[in-house]
Amino acid sequence: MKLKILSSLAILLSILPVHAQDKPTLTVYTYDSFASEWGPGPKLETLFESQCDCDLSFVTLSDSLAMLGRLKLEGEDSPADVVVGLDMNTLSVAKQTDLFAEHKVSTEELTLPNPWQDDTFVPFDYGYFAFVYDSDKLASAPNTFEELIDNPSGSKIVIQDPRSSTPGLGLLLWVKALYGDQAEAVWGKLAPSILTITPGWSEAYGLFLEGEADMVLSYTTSPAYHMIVDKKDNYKAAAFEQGHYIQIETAAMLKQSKSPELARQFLAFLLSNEAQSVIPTGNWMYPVKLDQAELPDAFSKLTVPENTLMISPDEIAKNKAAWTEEFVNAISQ
Amino acid sequence: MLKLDKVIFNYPEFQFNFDFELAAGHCLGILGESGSGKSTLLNLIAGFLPPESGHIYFDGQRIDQLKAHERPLTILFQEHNLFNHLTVYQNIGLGISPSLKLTNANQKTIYDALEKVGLPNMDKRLPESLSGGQRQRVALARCLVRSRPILLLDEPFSGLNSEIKTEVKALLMQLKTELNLTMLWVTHDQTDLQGVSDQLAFIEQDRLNRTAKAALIPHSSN
Amino acid sequence: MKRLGWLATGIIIAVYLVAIIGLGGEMTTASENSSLNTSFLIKVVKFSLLQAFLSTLISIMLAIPVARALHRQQFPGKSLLLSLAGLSLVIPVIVAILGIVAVHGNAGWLSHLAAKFNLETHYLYGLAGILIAHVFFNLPLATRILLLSLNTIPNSSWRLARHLGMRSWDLFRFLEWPLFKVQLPQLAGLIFLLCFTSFAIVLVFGGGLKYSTLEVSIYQALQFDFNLAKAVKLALVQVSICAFVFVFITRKASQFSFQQLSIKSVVRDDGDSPLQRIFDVAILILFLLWVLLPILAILAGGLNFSAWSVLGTQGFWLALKGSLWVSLISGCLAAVIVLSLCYLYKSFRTSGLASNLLDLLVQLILIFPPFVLATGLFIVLRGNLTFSGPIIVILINILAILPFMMRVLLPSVLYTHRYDRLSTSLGLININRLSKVDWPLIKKSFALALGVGLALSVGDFSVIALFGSQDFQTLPLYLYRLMGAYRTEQAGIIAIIICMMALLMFFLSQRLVGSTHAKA
Repeated sequence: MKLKILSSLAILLSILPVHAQDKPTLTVYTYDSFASEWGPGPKLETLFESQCDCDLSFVTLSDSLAMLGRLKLEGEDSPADVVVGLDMNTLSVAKQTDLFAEHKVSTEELTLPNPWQDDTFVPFDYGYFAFVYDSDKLASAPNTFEELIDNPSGSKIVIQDPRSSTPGLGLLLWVKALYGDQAEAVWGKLAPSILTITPGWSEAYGLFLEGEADMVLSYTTSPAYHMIVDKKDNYKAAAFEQGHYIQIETAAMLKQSKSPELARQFLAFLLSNEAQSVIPTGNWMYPVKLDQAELPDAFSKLTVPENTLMISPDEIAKNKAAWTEEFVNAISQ
Repeated sequence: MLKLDKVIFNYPEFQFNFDFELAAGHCLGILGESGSGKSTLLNLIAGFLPPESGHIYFDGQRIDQLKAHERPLTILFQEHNLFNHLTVYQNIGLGISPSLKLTNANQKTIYDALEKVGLPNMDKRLPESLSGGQRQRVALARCLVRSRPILLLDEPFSGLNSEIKTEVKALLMQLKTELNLTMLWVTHDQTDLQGVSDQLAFIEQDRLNRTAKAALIPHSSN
Repeated sequence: MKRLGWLATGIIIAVYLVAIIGLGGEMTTASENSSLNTSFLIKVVKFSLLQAFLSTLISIMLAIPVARALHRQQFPGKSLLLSLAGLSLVIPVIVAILGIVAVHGNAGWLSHLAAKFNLETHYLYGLAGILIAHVFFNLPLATRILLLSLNTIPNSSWRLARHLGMRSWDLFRFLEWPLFKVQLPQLAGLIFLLCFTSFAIVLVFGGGLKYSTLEVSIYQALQFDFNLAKAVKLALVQVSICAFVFVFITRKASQFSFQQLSIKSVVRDDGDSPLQRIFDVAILILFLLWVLLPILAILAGGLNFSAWSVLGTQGFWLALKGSLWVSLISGCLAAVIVLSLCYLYKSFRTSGLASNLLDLLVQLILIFPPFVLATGLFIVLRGNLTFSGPIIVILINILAILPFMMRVLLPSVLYTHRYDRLSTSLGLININRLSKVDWPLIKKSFALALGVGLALSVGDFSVIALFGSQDFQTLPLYLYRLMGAYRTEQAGIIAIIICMMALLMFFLSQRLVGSTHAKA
């Protein structure tokens, strides 16, 4: 009897996963959808593990800001080696935490609209905010904010709250970049066209797909998803002549990382051809270092802005609170 | 002999003083309007309320330190005498063993008690299917199997008609002499006590001093 | 039981204290400007009070006739109907929003119907939308709780009423209303708190930022500005206001006088007249349409068969496993906790203040933003997230389901009071008391409470988003991930799975626990 118990115990123990002690682990903090099975995360993990002889493990948080918040809380005790997905708009705040180390990765040959100069954050993808519409329902889309405001057809838009969502903040900065001190007036005039403001991107996009609104604030790359996965080409992004605000997503390594070499290797890997080619259909964004020829066909049909708008991270950090308040006041009148 | 020795209980606005004796085998009827403190007296003796000061003795032994179910008494309540979800047999059995672990001898005791209160063959019934008088008799049967020398009765006749009252009363008197029970009977209706009580008392309230005590009525025995 | 109740109370208080200490410790190191924008705050609070008050009032006003109609009429599938209606509280908010939109939206079913009659129906965005959504969530809850209390009117009372020839209105005045009066303050308090702190609903259906809640500002302070001090300040403002309103509403509700839950069929005849029957059927059909249409809209997504392929993914099974664990552990632990709390509450019956305080403590989670609590706990626990993540998720989940479970279980525990003296005099104490006397009386409510707890935890999304990882996720988190990756249709399938799992848990717990016979 005893023998039986012992032997079954042994079998049980042998089933338990044996921890790979020899292999170092690289802990990567990222936002939720990046590491989800449809995101680029799992593919990047397999690719990187095949060349690093290490374990890559993702820890997911809801968004860019949540990651930063968590890192601030954890400080030097953080188990994180690398953070992937810090939004460009939060970089100034991120830098102030003094938690990140220099990346020492070459960022010279990037295909970003503007040259990249930052020795802490490595960009890995980008996209433009845009209003997406269903061309079967909306015959003519606005080409400027003025047309959006004029709105002769009485069409409605769904946007996100800048206080709780990255695209929401994107729109805030977009209007700010274009109109500066006049932004508040623009918000006031835009308010009647806004069907509603949702806390996050998912609610807004869901409402749009249900047919509640004619346009939704999303990305110029959103139609690519519908073309490639749904095989539908009726979803389009309205091209604004004045230009589109850009979102650049970056990665960085932490100072307190116990395997800095590995972390740096991962940052370099993010800009490799194989990693970059995962981005378009994984994150539905533009890669920052990939030949145009290697992009999926659908991406060539997308709206490409003529002007790229952006505000420096420092300025954003300084004014974000005031601008948000301005937005809330103007909209809630 | 049951003795209450300067038992004091305080309500926020009122103080009760109880100090009296009751001879073994006697029945004391306690009269008073509802809210006058009759139930307080029973609750003190039964152990549901702790006295502020004073002692309670039975046959010279202090009983006020005992837990409620360890005291040498059993109670016939005004209502909720039976657990509605348990059978007559189980309800009586609980009087013997709180965990319902019953020996053969116990079982016989239960059937005997049922016989005694005039409800043979009712053991499997649920209280809901019994009449009010029958329910009180089942409760009385449980008092019997507990074989405790003191029986406290808290308005046991409320809600019963006079015919059944007479019937249950006769049963009570028979048991009282048979088992030499010491009884304390609380009621607001003096007619309930006719022919049963050896002594009468009422709760006397002193509104000025906000106190109350049980006052024996002289020459009231039968 | 009472001692366990004190222990549970102590633990709950400790959880809050630990979280507050954690936040406090971190706050001293932060130096951000935490001053509050008072005029904006007042505006937000005013509106929150208004919408919560209206939502509560409407939910309860509608719940009374619905509960009465349900009580009057007997028909097959009644309990299934109630359970389906209860799903409104289980499904993730984002799914409920889309369900409501599919029915009431500008391009919704009702709008299409109205268009056939050349009517314009754009009513969803604005105060009306907020109220519609809140009533959608809370009407089934209120109905169920009122129905429970109607079931406590003893058959003898119905017989007597019948004998006296009481009409429907008399029954309401003399039998039902006195009972409701006792139950309503607590129920209103619960609904009020749920609506006051509602977040996504108010934003989405508010139609612009005219309407906002404190919860949004707290979220902003914590996640957006990472200003802990401000978040805590706002949270305290919210807690104080809600606690004040809650105590105000429930101040007179300390005297319970619950009767036994009648097991036998009801002997009321005021539902027999043809007119009354037509009226009741009409009310029930409206209730059905109101609650079930949005849920049907969600289920209709299941007709897209290709989307079912999501069940083949590894992520789904991981999420299913996670949800199963979170739900089972928190549901069962919460059931024990809530039982002990009910007994503690019962022991307070002479003290209205103590029972109100306990009630408030249980409801605190509804007004203390879960993500603030989670952040506080995280600061203290830190360390290895593999362990602390699930612990915090389960802990907060338990706190979140307690208020609902307590409302279900409390009446029957209080009912056992009638046997207190008899039991004590017979020496029925501790386990004997529980197994012989109380368990048979409370097991049905206990099973119902357990079912409610399990079902609610299946759909819980309060803080999992903060602590998910590749290895630890739940169905609601998985659903949000699908939504975030454009996969709305597959997310619909997950919503259906969540509903099915919640219903299964709900019915199984009642089959397994509610019908076991205590050996007596």
